[in-house]
Amino acid sequence: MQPEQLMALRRSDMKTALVLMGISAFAMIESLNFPLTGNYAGVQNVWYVSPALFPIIIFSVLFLCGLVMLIKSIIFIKKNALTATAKESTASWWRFFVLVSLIAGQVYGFVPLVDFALSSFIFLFVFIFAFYSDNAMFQKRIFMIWSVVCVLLATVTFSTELTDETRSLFDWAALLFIGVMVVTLFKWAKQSKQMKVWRISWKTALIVTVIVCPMFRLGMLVPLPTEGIVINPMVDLKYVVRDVWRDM
Amino acid sequence: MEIMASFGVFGNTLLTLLSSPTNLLILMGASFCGIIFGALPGLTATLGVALLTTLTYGMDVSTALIALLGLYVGAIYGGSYPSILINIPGTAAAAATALDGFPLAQKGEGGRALGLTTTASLIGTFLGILVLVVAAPMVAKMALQFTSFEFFLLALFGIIISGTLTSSDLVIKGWIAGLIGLGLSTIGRDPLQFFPRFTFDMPDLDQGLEVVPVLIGAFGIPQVIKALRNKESLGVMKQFGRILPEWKTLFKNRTNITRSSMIGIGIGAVPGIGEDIAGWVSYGAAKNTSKHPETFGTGEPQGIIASETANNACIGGALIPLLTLGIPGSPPAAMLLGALMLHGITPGPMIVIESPDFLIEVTAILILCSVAMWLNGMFLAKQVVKVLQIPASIFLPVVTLMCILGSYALGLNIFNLYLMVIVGVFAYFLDEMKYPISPLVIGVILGPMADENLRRALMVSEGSLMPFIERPISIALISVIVLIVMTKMPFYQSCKKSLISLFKK
Repeated sequence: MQPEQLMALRRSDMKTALVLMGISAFAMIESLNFPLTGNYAGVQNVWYVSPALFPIIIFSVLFLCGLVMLIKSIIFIKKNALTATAKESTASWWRFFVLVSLIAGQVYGFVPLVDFALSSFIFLFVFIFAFYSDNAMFQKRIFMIWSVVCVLLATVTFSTELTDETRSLFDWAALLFIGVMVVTLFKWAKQSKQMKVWRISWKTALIVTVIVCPMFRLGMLVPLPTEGIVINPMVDLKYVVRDVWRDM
Repeated sequence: MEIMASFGVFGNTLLTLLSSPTNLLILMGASFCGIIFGALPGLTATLGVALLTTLTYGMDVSTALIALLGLYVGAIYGGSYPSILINIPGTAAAAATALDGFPLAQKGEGGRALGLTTTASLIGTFLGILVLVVAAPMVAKMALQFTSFEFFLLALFGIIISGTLTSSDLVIKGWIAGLIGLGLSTIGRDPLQFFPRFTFDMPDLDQGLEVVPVLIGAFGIPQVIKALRNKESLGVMKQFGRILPEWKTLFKNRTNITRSSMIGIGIGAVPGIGEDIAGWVSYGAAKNTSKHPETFGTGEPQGIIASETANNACIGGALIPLLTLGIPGSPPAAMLLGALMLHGITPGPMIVIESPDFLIEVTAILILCSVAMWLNGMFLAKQVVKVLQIPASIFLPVVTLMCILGSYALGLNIFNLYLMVIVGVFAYFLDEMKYPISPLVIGVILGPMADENLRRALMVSEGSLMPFIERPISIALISVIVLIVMTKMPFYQSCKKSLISLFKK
C-alpha cells in the first residue's frame, strides 16, 4: 500500500474508532436499562442470567478495541505528519452515489409501492444504461431524476396507509415513468451515439423481468413484494389457463 | 456391521439421487451456475449459495442440498477460469492459481491448465469428502460431551480466529468486525427471557436480524458497488485448445496433491477462514518443497495443482465443524448453515442422533457434485467462457435484483430488504477500510449461541467462573484464545524480536 493510501486509511480508522466508541457507549448505557435484578416475565434475575450480561460484555470490549484503534491511528498520523493523504476521485464518488441511490431507491421507493414487475424493469433498465454507457453526465442526470422520484415514493410509503385503488394509481404512474425514461434515455443515447447501450439495456431489463417474475410467482409460488397491474393479471391468467387445460 | 450398514445407506442414497432425472438436471444446472458464479469476478461462492437458497425454498431437503452443494463445489472451482485465461481471479480462492495458470495460458497451454485445475479440484474435493466421512462422526461424538461452557468458548474461538486470520490490515479490525457481528446478534428478544433488546419499539426487530438478508447484504451489495465503482472489467481472453485431464502429470504430483489436500482440509476445518487462505498456504508449501522453486510463477503445473486441490479440499474441511458443531468453517459454509436451518435441519452434535443418515447423505451428494463439476469442467468450459464475456455493467444489475428477491423471498418481509441495503452499504464501507466481512457474519450467526450458552453455563455454576478453568476442553480453548490474542500484542512481538536477536548473538 502506498504511504498516502495508508495515511488515508489511518485517518478513516480514527474516525471509525470514534464512531465505534460512541455507538458502544450508547449500547452499554442502553443495556444498563435491561433487567439486571428483579423480576421479568416471572424470572428472578441475577446478574449472570440477565439479558444485559452479553451486550455489556460485547460493547465494553468493542469500546476498548475502538480506543486501541484510536490510539494506534493517532500515533501513526503524528509519526507521519508530513505524508500526504490519498483522496478518492470525484468521479469515483459520483459512481458510488449513483449506485447507492439506485439500490436504495429501488428498495425504499419502488418495491413497497409499485408492482414488482414494473419496478424491476425500470430498475434494471436505468441501472444497466447508467453503467453500461459509462458516461458520467448520464449517471449524474439519472442520479438526480431517480433520487427525486424515489424520495417522493418513499415519503408516500412511510407516511400514509394506501388502499388497493390508490396503489394501482402508482402502478399506472410507474408505467408512465417507464415510458418517459425509455424516451429520455433514447434521446440521450442518440445524442451521444450510444444506441447499442439503449437497446441492450431495455432488452436485458425486459428479458430478465419476464423470466424472473413468473419464475418466482408462478413457478416457486413466492408472493412478490408488491403485486399490481402486471403480476395480478399474470396470476389470474395462470389459473384461467389451468382451468381451460383441465376442462380440455 | 455398522460400516456395512453405512455403505448400504450410502449406496441407496446414491441410487435414489441418480434415479431421479429432476435431481440430475438440478445437479448439473447448479454445478454449471456455480462455475459461472465462481468465474465471474465480483461474484463469489457465498453469494451464489445465498441467492440459490431462495430458489430451494420449495424443494425437499435432498434436492435442496444437491442444488446448494453443487453450486458451492462448482463456484470454488470456477474461480480458476478467469485466473488462467485473463489473470483476474474469479474468487479469492483462485488467486494463487493465476500465478502459474496465466503464464501457462500465455504459452498457448490454457486447455492443459484448465484440465489440470478441473481434475485437481475433483481429487481435492474427493479427499475432503473422505476426511469429512471419517472425522465428522468422531468430532460429533466428542462434541456430545460438550456443555454450555465449551459451546460458549467454541463460538468465541471461531470469531477470534476468523478475525485474526482474515484481517488484511490490523488484526484488531478482524476482532472488531467479529464483535460488531456479535453486537448485531443481540438485537431482538433475548433467547432465555424474551426481553426486547435494542428493538426501539419496532416490532420488525423483535425476532432479531434475519441471517439471510444480513448475509446477502454483507456479501452481495459490497461486491456490486465495488466492481461498478472501480469499473472492474475483464481483460482479453486467450484462446485455448482441448481440455484434457492430464492423469500422468497428476500422478507425478501425488505427494503435492496429498499435502495440498491436507492443508485445505485443515484450514477449512478452522472456523471462519476458507478457500482463499488454503489456496495460498498450499501454493507456498508446494513452492517451498519443490526442487525447482524458481519455476513457480512461470507456468509451473505444480503451483496450479497445489492451489486448486487445496481450495476444493477445503469444502470437506469446512463442513466438518458446520455439521458437527454448528460452526461454519468458511463463509460459503456460513451461508449453507443458514440454508440448512431454513430447511429445518439444525447442524450440531445432535445431528448424528437425530438424523443418523444425514452425514452419509451429504457425502453421497458431495460425490455427485464433484463428478458434476468435473463433467461440466471438461465438456462445457467453452460455454462458461462465453458467459464470462458478459460485461459487469450488465450482469451486476441483474445480480442486485436477485439479491433483492433473495432477501425478500425467505421471510416475505419488506423489512428484510431495508435491512439488506443498510447492512450492504455498511459492509461496503467496512470492506473499504480493510475490515474483513467474514468475522462479522460469523458473529451474527454465532452470537445467539454464545449468548445463550454463556448465561446457561453461569446459571449452572451459579455465577462462578471457575468451571471455565476446571474443565479440560474449556481450559484448552481458553489457552488457544489467549495465545492467539497474545501473539498479536505489541509486547509479544517485541519480546519475540529481542529473543531472536539474543539467539543470533
